[in-house]
Amino acid sequence: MEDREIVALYWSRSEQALAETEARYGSYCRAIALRVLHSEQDAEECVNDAYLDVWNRIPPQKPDALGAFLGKIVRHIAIDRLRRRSAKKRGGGETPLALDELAECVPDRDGVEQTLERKALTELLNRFLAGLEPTERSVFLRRYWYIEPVADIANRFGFTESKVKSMLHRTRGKLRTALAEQGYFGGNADE
Amino acid sequence: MNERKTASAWELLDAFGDVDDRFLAEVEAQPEVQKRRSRVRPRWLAAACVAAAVTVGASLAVGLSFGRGTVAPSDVSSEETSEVTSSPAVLENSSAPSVEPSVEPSVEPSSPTWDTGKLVAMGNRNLMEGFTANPVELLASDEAFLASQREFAYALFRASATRRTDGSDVAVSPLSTEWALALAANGADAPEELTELLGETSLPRLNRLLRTLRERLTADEALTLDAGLWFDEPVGVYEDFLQVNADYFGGAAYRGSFADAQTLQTLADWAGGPLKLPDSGVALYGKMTFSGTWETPFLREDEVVDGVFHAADGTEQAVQYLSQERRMSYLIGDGFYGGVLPYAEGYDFVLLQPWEGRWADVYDFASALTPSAVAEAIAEGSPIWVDLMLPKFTAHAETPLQETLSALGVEKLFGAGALPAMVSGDASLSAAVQTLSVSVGELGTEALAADRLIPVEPPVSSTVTDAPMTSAPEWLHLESPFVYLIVERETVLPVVMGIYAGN
Repeated sequence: MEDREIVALYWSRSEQALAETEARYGSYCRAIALRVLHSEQDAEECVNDAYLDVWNRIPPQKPDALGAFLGKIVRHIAIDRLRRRSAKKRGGGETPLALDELAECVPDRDGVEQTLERKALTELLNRFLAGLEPTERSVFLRRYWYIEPVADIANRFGFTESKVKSMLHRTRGKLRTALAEQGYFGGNADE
Repeated sequence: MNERKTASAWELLDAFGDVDDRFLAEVEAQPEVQKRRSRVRPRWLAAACVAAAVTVGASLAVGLSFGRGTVAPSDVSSEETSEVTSSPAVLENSSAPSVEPSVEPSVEPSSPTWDTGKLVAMGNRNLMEGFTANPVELLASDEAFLASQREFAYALFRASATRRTDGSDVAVSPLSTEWALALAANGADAPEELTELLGETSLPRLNRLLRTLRERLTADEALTLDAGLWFDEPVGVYEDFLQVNADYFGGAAYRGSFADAQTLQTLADWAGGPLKLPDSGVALYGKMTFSGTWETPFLREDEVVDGVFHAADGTEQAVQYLSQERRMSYLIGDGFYGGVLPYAEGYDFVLLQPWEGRWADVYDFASALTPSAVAEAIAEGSPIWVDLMLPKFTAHAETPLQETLSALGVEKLFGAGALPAMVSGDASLSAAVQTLSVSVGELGTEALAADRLIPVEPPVSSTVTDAPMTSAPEWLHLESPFVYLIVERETVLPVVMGIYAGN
């Protein structure tokens, strides 16, 4: 079933929408959740929560690309779940590694606290990503959107792991500069 | 990571989830698995690519040339002067060298009783046209071979440093020298003096080991290693030697009048900059480039400071220092102290400062340096807080290698008729010069010039600063001549060794 047909089922409040969503995007959603959470049980719960969230959002929303719409919800729920879990105990898996890597982009905030505007931060990320070469962008998103292990990315692109690490390192450096220039995470907006 | 920093990282990670769908569509549209990209670039484009990829953290380019003074006209025709094509028909006769793949290379010149094959027809041309590399059985380095590589590297460095009396910089690339020597050995009458020096008595085995080593060292593309041969117009070149070159070294080979500007241009194109050719004969070049990014670049304004360097010639030089208070491996060895600055690409920049009073000068220290002394210091080094000051520098060195190699036992290579498997006639190499430049900077990329430096506030953030500083940092202020090495982290194999003396 096509996306628009599934969305129409949501709009008609037919529970068949959930079955069709599961059939079309179930594996995709579980893969995203599993990479973040590193636990099949947690991933399953996360996907179920995401389906419920989608049920509550459509209508009024009417996404053109249901897969991307759903994937973002799954990822957000998974990261939120992991973040709450990590407040108690640091877990294993790729996400803590990716988190440590992204921490390179954000200076310690010992100075004046900057209130983050999520929308503006997202727009900055979009501008930043738009300025990258396609391969660099894809490698970066594979790591920090899909939370894929470096080895998997290397295999996917036919690169060595060392090259992938090097690419990610350089791109993080660019992101760090971009964030600092815009004053995010305590950076100086004047620069 | 402190809590605030952790929170920021979480926010950033979460924010990635809302990026535009078009980026995700682009990612999803990619094939599941791409084939490994070929690392073989068109020979004549390679140099230009290298030239465009200069200076990241530390960069260098190496030229190693050998030339002989006179060349007897060979027994090949000198009539053909037109530009060649890839067709085998341009070879001397119709029985062109086989370019069909086979399991083994077509020639393994391990014996002095050479079957040198046919001479390539005359004419100015890219001699490697029509030659394709046969599949080669790779051979992984064992510890004994790696140990011999390290021994050769340090022997070359010691020999280069020993003769210095002028307070000048030293910079050698053992890897590039070895690569060029190994290629020369495949055309030499007495390859054993080279193979023994390089740590493997079997030339075919050495070829395989080196080819395998190169593939490993160049895997992440921070390092490139190439060889090139330029032949003066009258020189006859044997096909079988060129086939060995294709199989193991992938080197360029060009024939043209050394007095012709176009020939010089082909060399400059290959090397990424002008290089000298001898008056006539054969010139053999090794080329290595290294483009590494510091794992923790010197990004902030206060990480580049002005200072004074006490040069080896007794003068004081105004320099800029790269400065960081950071956690890094601090080394203490027999007669020296130092540190290890990691690159992001699997290499380390090793800094060795000789103790004052222990050595007459930095050259004295370098002349006594051994692989075991450095390896032990690195193995015992521990990450601690270090107040580092490293001068930004660009060192250019031109090292006459013939004397150095002679000191290492290489004599026959420079005798008359020493290359019977490479060229026709009474060929020999009469000169060997290595030129090398090393550049060390805050980042290395042109994209981050001084006016793009990040302001002093807020404090720098990186993995090396995560652990709290619990005691006063050790000082590693390299304000007087010191030794540096670029080594592969896993094997501690030096790819570059040098002395920064301030000149």
